Amino acid sequence: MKIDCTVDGKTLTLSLNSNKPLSLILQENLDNQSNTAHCKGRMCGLCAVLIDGKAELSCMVPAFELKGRNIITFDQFQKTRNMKDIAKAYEMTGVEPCKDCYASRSLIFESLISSEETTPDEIKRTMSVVKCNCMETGDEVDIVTKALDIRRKRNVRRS
Amino acid sequence: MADRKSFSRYTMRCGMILRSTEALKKLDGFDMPELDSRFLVITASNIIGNNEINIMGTKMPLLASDFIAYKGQPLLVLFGPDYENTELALEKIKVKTSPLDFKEDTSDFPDPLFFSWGLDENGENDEERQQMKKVESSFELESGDEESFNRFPILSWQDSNGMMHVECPSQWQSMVKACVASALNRSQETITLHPDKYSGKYDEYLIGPAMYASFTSIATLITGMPCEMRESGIATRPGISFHTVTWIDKNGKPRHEETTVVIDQGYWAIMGKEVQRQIMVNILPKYSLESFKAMIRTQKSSKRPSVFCGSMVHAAALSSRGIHTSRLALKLDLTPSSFILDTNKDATRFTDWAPRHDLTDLEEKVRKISEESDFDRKWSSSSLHSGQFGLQGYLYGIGLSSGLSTAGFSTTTAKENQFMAQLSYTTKKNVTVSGYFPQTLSGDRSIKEILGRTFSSTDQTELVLFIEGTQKAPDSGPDILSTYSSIFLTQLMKATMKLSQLAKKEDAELPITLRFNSQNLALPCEFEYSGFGTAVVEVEVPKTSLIPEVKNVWIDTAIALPQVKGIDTKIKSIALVAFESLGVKLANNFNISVKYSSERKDVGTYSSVENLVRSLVTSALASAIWQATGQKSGVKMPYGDKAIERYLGGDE
Repeated sequence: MKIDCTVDGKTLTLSLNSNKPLSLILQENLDNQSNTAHCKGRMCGLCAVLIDGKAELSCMVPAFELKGRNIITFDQFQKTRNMKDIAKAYEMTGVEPCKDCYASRSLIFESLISSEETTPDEIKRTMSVVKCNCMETGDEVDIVTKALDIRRKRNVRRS
Repeated sequence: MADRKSFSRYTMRCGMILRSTEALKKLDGFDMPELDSRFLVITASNIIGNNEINIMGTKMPLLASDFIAYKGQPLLVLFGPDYENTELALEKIKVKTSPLDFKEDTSDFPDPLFFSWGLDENGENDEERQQMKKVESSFELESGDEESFNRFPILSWQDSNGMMHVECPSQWQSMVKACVASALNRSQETITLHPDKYSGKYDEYLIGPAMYASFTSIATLITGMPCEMRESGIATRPGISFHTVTWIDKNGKPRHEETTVVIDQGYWAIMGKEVQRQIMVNILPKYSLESFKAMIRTQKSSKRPSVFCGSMVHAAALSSRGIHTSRLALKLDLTPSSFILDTNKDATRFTDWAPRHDLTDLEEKVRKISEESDFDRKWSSSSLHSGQFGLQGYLYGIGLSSGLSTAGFSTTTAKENQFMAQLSYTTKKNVTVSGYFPQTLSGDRSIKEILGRTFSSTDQTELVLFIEGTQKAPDSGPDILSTYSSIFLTQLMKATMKLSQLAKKEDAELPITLRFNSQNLALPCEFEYSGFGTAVVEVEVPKTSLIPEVKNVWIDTAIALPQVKGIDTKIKSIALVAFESLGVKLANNFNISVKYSSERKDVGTYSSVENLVRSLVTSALASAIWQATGQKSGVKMPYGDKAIERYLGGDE
């Protein structure tokens, strides 16, 4: 089937099997460099992308659900100011995700920050999809809180 | 075609592997569906060159030819226009097998490794032993596969000059080149490697890229098109079982000890001798003994060959030592830390495996942890629980483990592979280091620090360093790097001092070049005990699931490292990964507390924090489960509900 969607700002028409997961579309059809996870249903949580601004695991999104959606991968996101806020929060807390889960965690953090989510339980619940053990839940809450502060200050300065 | 950026995904071929679903079968052939000209099938019979991969002397076939050795062995590679069509076509291929009259042939396996001292003429001290107390421990780590969550791409293309280009992630670049050259029956000069950043957790991930690069290169040569594969890394842990018996005299001093180790490395024992040597170094007791006997045997099995796995073998051997030390301490009513302190007083030359090993610094570390950490209370609770009455509920255990970590490098491997490095002082008064050292080490601050420290004391106004890693990096993966770097840095320090003295001479003729090697003929393995740690693990086995749950973990380490930034997180991460691979769950209220004492005074003998922490938590966990399930002697990991049921039923 043919699917029209936007990936990293580019409008594309893809000809695909309707049930092909987004993670494989990004890797095999679009040669995306940031998304290499393929856990075969082990729910590793390392393949997050932003779909219409919300973080979702790309292996759980079949091709037929992509019609008209706006997908942002870490390839594009790492160049944005929003990523700089998160990187600054990593620096301030002294904790950084490992290279395996850096992209996925950063995108999930962005999803939480953009929705201004500050409830520790909700942050922990959302972040629990990433199975990588490099970071503790307490640190994740700190990062979201710090990044949110940085983002707010930046927005105030801008306005 | 040479320009990598000019590729279109529509003019490429994508490859997928057909793997066996059974082991020890005769491979009769394949039932192939009708495939059009867009597809290419590669089997053992149409590999252009040699159907083999050579890993440090051990040869393994790339694709199974006449028989299937293990489950998951690559049988065939199919290249197609895209991954979707290739996958659909691959599903239609049927493998024809028949029963195999299997006769175990272990001629390519290493002979058992023996080491002993102080034995009488009969090889045993029977009479004396009969009057002593016997402390016995068994520890078994089952082999298993672990697949990475990530897939790495491997790409080959050929340029107009006939040069084959390969792009793949690898630290072991010489092996990739050699494997591709052998598979194509071409010289290595006609192959250009474009290494991607390598980020595998285990050494085995390094083998995959070499095999897959051979497949893509063959396909490129046949089709004339760029060919790509995307595969996961598969790490296979060797199965190891340890059985140790110690005889203790009336005064509570260990006198005699015997250890038997059986290793299951799968169908091919890759670097089998080296694995044996590494285990031998780590199972040697750190206390004084009158006699000691160890035997390490490698057995053949129809499992995926586990590659060198230096770090895991290290950790497993250290764990077995940790478990046994806990047993001895329990028998003598001491904490493991106190036991180590107590026995170190009487250490003799035999037990100081490396003769230049200085115990003073280590004793300080042991004492520091022993005094500062509040582990004695936990140990007393553990010993009470294991006595006649239990303060804690049944199916609950506290395990404590203390141990020394080793840092070092197998100099036998260095000798076999001629690992050399070169240090030059040039006419422009620059210092150059080049040689066979890992790429990751080439950017290491430690090398610059060592050279800078020595040469800044001379009257040279400017010091320029050129550090060149070669493509023949001998390292065997990310975990073992730390151990390699330790001995390399020690030898570099010595060479630097010598070079500095030569350069200072008035009649010195520049350039001056020194070559130094990483081999030491005096010892089979050169390891140093350069760190100490203690771990306590609290475990509960719920009666409903029978899957052990780790509730609390305390880790305290004193270890020298080149970089201590984020070390707490790293230690936690190593512990969590170890728990995951050992088949236990983390409880909902799981808590892990880490304490790290940084000491940089012994720069040059950095320990592998991975090995120390993994071995400590493994042995503490084993002791905790041993206690929770009331086992009599042995512990087996990873744990499953069946194993727990078996233990609870008393059927060990």
